[in-house]
Amino acid sequence: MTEQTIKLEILRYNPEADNEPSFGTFEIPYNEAWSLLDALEYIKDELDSSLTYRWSCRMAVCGSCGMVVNGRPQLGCETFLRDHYPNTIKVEPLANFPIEKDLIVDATGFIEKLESVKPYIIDAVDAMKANPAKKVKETPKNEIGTYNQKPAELGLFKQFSMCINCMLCYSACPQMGLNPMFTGPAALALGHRYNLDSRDHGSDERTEVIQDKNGVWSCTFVGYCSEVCPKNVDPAAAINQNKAQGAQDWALSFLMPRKGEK
Amino acid sequence: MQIVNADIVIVGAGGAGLRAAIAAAEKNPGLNIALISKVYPMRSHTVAAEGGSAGVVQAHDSLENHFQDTVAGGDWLCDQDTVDYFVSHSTEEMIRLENWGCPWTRKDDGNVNVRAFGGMKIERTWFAADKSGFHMLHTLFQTSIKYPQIKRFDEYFATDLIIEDGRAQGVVAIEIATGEPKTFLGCAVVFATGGSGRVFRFNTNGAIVTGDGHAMAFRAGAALRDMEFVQYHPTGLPGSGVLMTEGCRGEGGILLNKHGYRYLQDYGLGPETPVGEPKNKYMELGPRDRLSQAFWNEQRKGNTIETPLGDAVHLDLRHLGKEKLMERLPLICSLAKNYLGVDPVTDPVPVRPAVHYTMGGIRSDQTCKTDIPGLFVAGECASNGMHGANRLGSNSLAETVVFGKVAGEMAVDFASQATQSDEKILAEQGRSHLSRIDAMRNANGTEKASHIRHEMVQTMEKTLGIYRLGEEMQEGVDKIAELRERFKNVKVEDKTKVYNTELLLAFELDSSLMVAEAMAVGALNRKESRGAHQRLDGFEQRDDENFLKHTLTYFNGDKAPRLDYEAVNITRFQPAERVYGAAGEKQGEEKK
Amino acid sequence: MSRRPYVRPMPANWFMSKPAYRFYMVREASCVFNLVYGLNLFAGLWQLTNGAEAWAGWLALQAHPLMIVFALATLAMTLLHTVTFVEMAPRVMPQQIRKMIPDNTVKAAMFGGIAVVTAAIIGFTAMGAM
Ligand SMILES: Cc1cc2nc3c(=O)[nH]c(=O)nc-3n(C[C@H](O)[C@H](O)[C@H](O)COP(=O)(O)OP(=O)(O)OC[C@H]3O[C@@H](n4cnc5c(N)ncnc54)[C@H](O)[C@@H]3O)c2cc1C
Ligand code: SF4
Ligand code: FES
Repeated sequence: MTEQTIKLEILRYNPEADNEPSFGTFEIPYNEAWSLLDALEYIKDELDSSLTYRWSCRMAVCGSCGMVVNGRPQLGCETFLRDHYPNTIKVEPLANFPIEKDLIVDATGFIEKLESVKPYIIDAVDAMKANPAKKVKETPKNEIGTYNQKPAELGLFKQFSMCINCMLCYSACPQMGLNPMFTGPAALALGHRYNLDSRDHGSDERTEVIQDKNGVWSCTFVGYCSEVCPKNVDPAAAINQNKAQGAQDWALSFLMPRKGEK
Repeated sequence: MQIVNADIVIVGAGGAGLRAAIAAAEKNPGLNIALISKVYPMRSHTVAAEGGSAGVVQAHDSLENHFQDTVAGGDWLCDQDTVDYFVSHSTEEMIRLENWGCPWTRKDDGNVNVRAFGGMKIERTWFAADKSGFHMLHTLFQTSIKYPQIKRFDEYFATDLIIEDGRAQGVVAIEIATGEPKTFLGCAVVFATGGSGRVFRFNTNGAIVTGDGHAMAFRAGAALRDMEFVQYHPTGLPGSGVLMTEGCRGEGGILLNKHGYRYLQDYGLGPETPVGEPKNKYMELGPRDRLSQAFWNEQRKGNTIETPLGDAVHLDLRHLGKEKLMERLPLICSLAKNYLGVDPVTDPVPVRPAVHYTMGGIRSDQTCKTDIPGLFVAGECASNGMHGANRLGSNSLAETVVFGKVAGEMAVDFASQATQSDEKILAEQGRSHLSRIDAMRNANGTEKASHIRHEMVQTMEKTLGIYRLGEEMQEGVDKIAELRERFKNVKVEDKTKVYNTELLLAFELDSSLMVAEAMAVGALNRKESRGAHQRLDGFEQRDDENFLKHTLTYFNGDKAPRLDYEAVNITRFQPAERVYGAAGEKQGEEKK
Repeated sequence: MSRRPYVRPMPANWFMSKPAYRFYMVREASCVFNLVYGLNLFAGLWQLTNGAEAWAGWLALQAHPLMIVFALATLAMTLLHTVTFVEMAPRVMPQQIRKMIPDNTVKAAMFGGIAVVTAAIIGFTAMGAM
């Protein structure tokens, strides 16, 4: 019996030798239990040690291994050969990012966008420092010093805190390709996560970025970001909840200037 | 060679490194902090921790309880002053994380909930469903963004420590995106580089857990301590090694052999507790080393279940019901489904022990100081004496923040007293390390690094398993020495500079081999059984007379590491027999 | 510097590249049908003010097979738009409300509302026609 094999077509790019990326084909033994990541490791260990990609946890939680598999952004460690066998698997780096080498893309812009939404608790003290005119009431604390937060209050933002920063949603978003300045799904969802947290009082400080034309208003609700998200974060919902909120605030600013100004 | 000047250089941006950076930034906002990590911070392996983080909160619990559980769990190889410091500071760290936004699971009244964990007498494990480490890491990373003085160098790979004037004054690190080595200078250096579980084949660790920090400190003269103590987690998925958290058992999951029998009662962990009513320190909530050892024995008796991916036992969670599983263990459910095709709601999950944690590390103490002045260590890379011969689950996430903070603050104190040596001399030092980088880049031998790695992990699995034999360990020592020799003849085929991951893998392998050798040598010479180090060749008992002491290993060039020992700090809890289940309860009564 | 990131161009017809994008474009295109159909109705109104003959001419145009196809296409597109709109609506509601009311309840209520309004319009028109 000959060994079963499976073919992988991988988009390769070596910045020091190639002018543009091109596909390379590898034929490897087929193993039912293998993830795509296992297959790549086999290639790197046995066939071509220059194959370059990111990975670490191999349990779909570190967010390193996003890649485009047969046209769909996916986590390499959560893609299994058995779901494709005997067909060839086509692997490309995440779309809408510059390719550094093979499957590695430039993530610095993404990280800067994450940072831009001030993704940390801004408590009452800090909120009043930022805007002394504003009266903010500190969230009550429990005896031991933790904030009191009911399960329902936690439930409000929990989904948006599950993002592993895998960037699949950026690869899925055509607006991202058309406007690279777009803050993008994951970062906007992260800002929303803090805005929804009962311990946080910093929503005003995030408004500028979130309601910017490169913020939620760059989104046309294609919705594919939420479809590819491996953690059911539903960033499209986060963005469009903010659009609705933004539109409401804008309208209210005419009726009740004070509310609009806050 | 570019020089990056900072006041404090921190290597590693997992739980410990991020906490150190924040502590340093808060202690002295005027200092510049360079935070170096070979991966983006949220990729650090802290992200994979599932179960939770320990800190005493309940009224009927006490610091003394946590102290005793930890020391007994570590089979009395713990430094008790360190454990004392740890237990009395972990709760405040958990609270701080909460204040920073960590979404700990809550009780209906808005307080934080805690769950039971193996070897812990009373529930004290804070958890965020089964993604505790993920949420801790993201909270710390996101909070660190608040501090402009923390300058991150993401995707920089540290290769060497710079020692001048007898103290650590920086590191050399390669900017992975360009391949350029850079010299980072600072008056104090913190290592928070994580563990080294990847030196074993079957493990729950991520690709980056290769012991780089251990090797850098080791080569610079610091001791690696207690490296032979390697924790096998009893419940990894066959094949991938992906972890099924101890939280599964904390919530009431049970372990069954092929006859559907809860075999743990045969190994001093009984009597059997009713299904669905987990009892602390009984049965499935015994400590990890005991559970892994029980698996080994069941396997010998032919009681394990054969699966295509190797022998296993069943982790049965079905009785918890779908709703509870979805609320408390959602990640576990999806991992089991994806990686094994088993739905825990309807079927028991096959599991087997997998290497999980390295108790040993760079020798330090409760102040995070090391043998090298100016070098502080925290997190899994450190051996500050708190885990002894076996770590209790949920103690190490807490360790990353408790001692991350200490390391950050100590580094600030040290940096504000020290003056930097002449920059020219330091730059020269930095350049001297270039030759090693160049040599690796141009390595043109005949050995394939990947094959050496495969041989290393197989050797470690075979010779340093759950139970150990002198002969086999000797074989392991010899084999690792051979691999180190062969590594000198390695070939790095990829000659590009941009994202040369093959080069980085070679550096990691070099580090892993040194760590592996320290483990093997330490194990071979520990002629007793204690905690995670269990021998079957005439040294089946704990030997307090000769081995109630820490193993120290020192770098010795190409030769095997030099061995030494040092006393364990015992303040008030005298060594006793380590017993669980009903026997444990009896011992507790007698003491009162 | 050896780094040379490669930026892939965004093809002009990017929207053809994935089923999800094609569907999105169809959804967006549904507005065009409604717009054109609306203009058509306005034209009818205009003709009505221009006297009986003009109105009859407009009515005759509506009976043209192509116009009937167009009307049916508009109906289909409107239904698609309605369905996608309702599917998306609960996700856009403030998270506070979303957590209180299950998505399916919101959707059912919206579909119900649309059905009632549609029935009312049809009933009203039918009554007018009598
Ligand atoms: C699957 C799993 C589950 C776990 N569950 C629990 C649990 O429930 N409770 C618990 O208490 N503990 C748990 N642990 C253990 C615990 O998670 C770890 O001990 C802890 O997270 C280690 O944190 P750290 O900050 O020391 O290291 P890590 O998070 O591993 O971070 C290491 C950092 O060092 C950097 N680094 C390493 N080498 C270099 C280099 N050469 N150059 C530059 N940077 C470098 C890395 O980039 C990374 O940022 C678990 C471990 C695993 C593997
Ligand atoms: S929102 Fe989802 S797809 Fe986007 S980065 Fe986060 S986890 Fe990935
Ligand atoms: S390797 Fe961590 S998400 Fe895939």
